[in-house]
Amino acid sequence: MTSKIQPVFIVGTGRCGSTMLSSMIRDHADILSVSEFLVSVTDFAGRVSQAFPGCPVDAHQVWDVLAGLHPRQTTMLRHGVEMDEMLYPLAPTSRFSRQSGVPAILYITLPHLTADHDALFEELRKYVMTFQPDLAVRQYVRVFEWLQARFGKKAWVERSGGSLRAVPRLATSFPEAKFVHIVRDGRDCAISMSNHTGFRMMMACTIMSQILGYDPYDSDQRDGVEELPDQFYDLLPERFSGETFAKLDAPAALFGHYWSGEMMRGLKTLAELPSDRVLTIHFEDIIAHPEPWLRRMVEFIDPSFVDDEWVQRAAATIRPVRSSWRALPAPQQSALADACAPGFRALAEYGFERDPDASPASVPLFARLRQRVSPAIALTKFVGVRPALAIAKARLGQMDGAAPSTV
Amino acid sequence: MATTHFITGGTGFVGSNLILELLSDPGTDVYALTRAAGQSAEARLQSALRHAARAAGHDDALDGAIAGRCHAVEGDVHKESCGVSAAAFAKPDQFWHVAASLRYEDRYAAEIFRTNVEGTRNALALAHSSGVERHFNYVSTAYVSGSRMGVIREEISSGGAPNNPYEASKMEAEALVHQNHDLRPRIFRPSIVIGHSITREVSSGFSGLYGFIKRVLRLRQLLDRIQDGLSSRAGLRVIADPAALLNLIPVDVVARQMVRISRSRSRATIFHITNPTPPPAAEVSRVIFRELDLQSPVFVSDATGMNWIEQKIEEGLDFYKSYFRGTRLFDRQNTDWALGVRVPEPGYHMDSATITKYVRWYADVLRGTTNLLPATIAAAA
Repeated sequence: MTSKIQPVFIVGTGRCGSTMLSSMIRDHADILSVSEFLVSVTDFAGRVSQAFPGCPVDAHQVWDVLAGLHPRQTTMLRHGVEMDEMLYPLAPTSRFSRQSGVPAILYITLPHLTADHDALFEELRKYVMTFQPDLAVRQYVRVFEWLQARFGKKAWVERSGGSLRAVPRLATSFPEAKFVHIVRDGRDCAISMSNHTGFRMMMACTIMSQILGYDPYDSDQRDGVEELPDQFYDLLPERFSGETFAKLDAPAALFGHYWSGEMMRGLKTLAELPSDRVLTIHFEDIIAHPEPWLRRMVEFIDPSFVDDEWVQRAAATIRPVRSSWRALPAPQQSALADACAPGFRALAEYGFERDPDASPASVPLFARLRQRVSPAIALTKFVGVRPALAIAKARLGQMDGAAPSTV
Repeated sequence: MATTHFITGGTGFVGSNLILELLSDPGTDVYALTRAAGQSAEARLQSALRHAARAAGHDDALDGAIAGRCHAVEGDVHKESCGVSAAAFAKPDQFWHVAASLRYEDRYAAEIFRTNVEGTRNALALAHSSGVERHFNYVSTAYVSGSRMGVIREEISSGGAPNNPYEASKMEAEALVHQNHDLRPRIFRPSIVIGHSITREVSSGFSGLYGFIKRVLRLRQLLDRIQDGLSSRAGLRVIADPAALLNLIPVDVVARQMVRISRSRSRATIFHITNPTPPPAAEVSRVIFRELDLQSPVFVSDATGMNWIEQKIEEGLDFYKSYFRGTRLFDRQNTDWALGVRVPEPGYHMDSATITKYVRWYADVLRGTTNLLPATIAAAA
């Protein structure tokens, strides 16, 4: 049951358009689309250490994470402010309700795969209960591979919103993994995040935790709550309401700064990986010319998965883009541009500025050069300049024969 | 001559330093209204006073006086007559009401008024029943001047509108105290009380200047959580009046002057316990920003053209705005006459190097005690 294909993660900043790719991949005959697994089991990134402890976890501990009723998701659900992406049907006949809460993996990941998600949930529980203690990462790989086999696929691709920041952890935990990095104009990402319940909740919890020094959604402590500004005080779990959440002042400029931070950090980590493990695609290119870019993405996942019929079907599902920074009044455009400027500078620095005329076959030379020599530059710290230069020269010599993996 | 003092708020920052100052007279006994919170009232009082003594630079030589001459009286200013029978303690020569809520936010207005106004009413009732003969000493704040600027006289009503519920509550409490002529009240109005003038340390209650420092640090940390290096962007604009003065006064100076006035023959009622040579607010801000590894702020007069970060800093420092704008000159005629001295206290001196010592002490405390972010969020973000 072991996958012969390298693990693949589709990563990006928040609201970069990657959800669209999960929906497309779900329809692919060979690839299992694991959607929002990381977001769900970490409760909007608030429970990363619980989901990925450094010690082995047994079957019950794994199931507690997968089937957990996590506090942020549950609070939002009870107050009717769940994410649009939530797929579990809150019908009167459903097994779980707003009041009971919905297990993490049933929030999106399993309903994304099948309408019979409750039965799949039970099947998965039985399988997980056979686990022997092991590191959480390996346990989750077992889950992905079991789902992959269960749906008759040959590989799995995980995609969670805003997972660019998780790349350092993913790259360490999955040393063979490949990454598809979706880049979207930061101004549009920021506008979309500022309107998105998941990112608004993530930001609110980040700010509250920063002020308090503990996470009020994961702690009964209430020391220092008087330090919270009114709007955050009213978002403590015991005071939370849909009305106060709707009033949260989380402007696009705030998320513009956040986008820049994600981009700066994420690009740095991705640049340190071997070039054949990273594919960078601009969301706007997929929208403008979907077929060649989707084909390139599948080719990157594994050349044997290229399927022109799937490419055409997936391309046909593309819908018009909703948020555009161009619709903002001039002062807000300016504030947003200022907030996103460091992120755009980072893109330029790493050679990933968008070229509207680019095609999957064209490769920005600077980006390729940087990715080829960056490991050698890092080596200078350990082996000295001369041996590192020799390694760089050898790698540059390989360029002509290498398949372009960065576009 | 043996004297007996009764004090509320004796475990707090100003109250504990006041007790230490009173103990400098070997004939003084102190009864302190103390809540039993997690431990007995007596244990809580003794612990708070020993801690304050260390912060003030005393070695354990003072511990004997604290143990032998300070007595806890279990009670609570929120209760009628503080929940205490006057029979529970010796008849005091002087009564000190120091207990107060230092909160200022609108959402805590009811709690602030309950502590500061009703608590004062309860303290006055207890003072009456205790048979105190000479003085009811009330520790208020110089900022009962509210929005008023310019020269602030030692008068009961300055006519300024309160900037927040804290100031409003202290105005109302002062009026209550002032009505009780039979207790021969004295109202002490300290300005912004900071750490000990020699050790720079604060034993408890990090409000005022310390609240401002903490708020700036939190904002800096938050900006860097959102984006690496965001806080180090040069020249953040902050609305401030470059001419404004920030009236900082060390806690030991406050305690010493209040005790000396209480022993004086002054018949005045109101005393400004303030710094006659306060430092410019801009200089204090520059030191704070520098000590927290922030670029020096650019002072502007209004919010025109401010970016999002600057607007958030303005909102985050909302409470402190009134202290950084406009100039208040606190007249000290009553205080100086009662003290009978014309030579300025050494603790008044607030140049940049001195301010740096106070700020650095607290910045080090914050660095040592601020909880790290939960690993969960830190790892994800």
